[in-house]
Amino acid sequence: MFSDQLTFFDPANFSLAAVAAPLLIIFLALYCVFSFVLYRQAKILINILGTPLSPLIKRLALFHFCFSFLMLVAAWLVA
Amino acid sequence: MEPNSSDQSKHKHSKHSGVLAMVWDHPAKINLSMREQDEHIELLLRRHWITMLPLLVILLAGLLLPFIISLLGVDLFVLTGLGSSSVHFQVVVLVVWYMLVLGFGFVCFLNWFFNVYIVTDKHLIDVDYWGLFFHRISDCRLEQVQDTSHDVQGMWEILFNYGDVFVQTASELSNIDFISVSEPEFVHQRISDLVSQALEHDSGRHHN
Repeated sequence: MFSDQLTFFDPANFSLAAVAAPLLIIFLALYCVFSFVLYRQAKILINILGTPLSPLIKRLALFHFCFSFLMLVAAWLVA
Repeated sequence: MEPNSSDQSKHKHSKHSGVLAMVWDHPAKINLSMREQDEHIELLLRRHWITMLPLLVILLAGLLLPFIISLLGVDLFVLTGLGSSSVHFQVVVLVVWYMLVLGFGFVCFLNWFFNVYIVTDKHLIDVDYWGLFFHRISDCRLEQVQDTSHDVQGMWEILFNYGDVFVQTASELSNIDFISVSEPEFVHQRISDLVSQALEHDSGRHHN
């Protein structure tokens, strides 16, 4: 009976293409959160130690977050 | 006894300058939030770039991997079962791959850039930053420094002249260790000089 409940997963007919899009979207959503945390962390560290490179680092961190969000939207649209 | 300008110029190395320097002597345009009003930054130290070499190799491999695979004539999308997915989706996957690799490189750079050891004329400051979620700042006054030592051990350390400088302190934080800093002998000597000056200044103040 228990084995009957597991028949929904059939390795012979498993296709990565079918699950790739939702997996990519979930992954990118998590990555967006991480990249935002990175941006916040960079801002905190720049407040502690400001250097001539600080504005560039802050912009790069923000660009990194925006780009990951853009990729999330793109993956959502093409999936 | 206050250090005179000739002493300072003797210590100041012309090659130790620049925002990406591993040993930055008398760094300019540095804004340290925890600095006192009349406090001057003497040294700003980072790990030697050679300690980042494994991460640089991984970064380079990540950037070149799609090219190498295509040069070998292997279609990675067919290999992973994504051959039937749309071209747009494949492009998104490729762009996401490069975003991840460059994001990894950015995080590695931030780890190197913000992991600094700062020597001022009053404090030793250790800024630790690892990964995404951790940063710690510890400091001690120069008068609290009890002993300094350095060691250079290993082939790479000798070849590239870097090593660890250990500072034992009397503060609650037992030690401040400067790990894998460039020119450890110079750093050790400089900290010892600054500690001597701070102790002399401190004892002079008590006598007055």
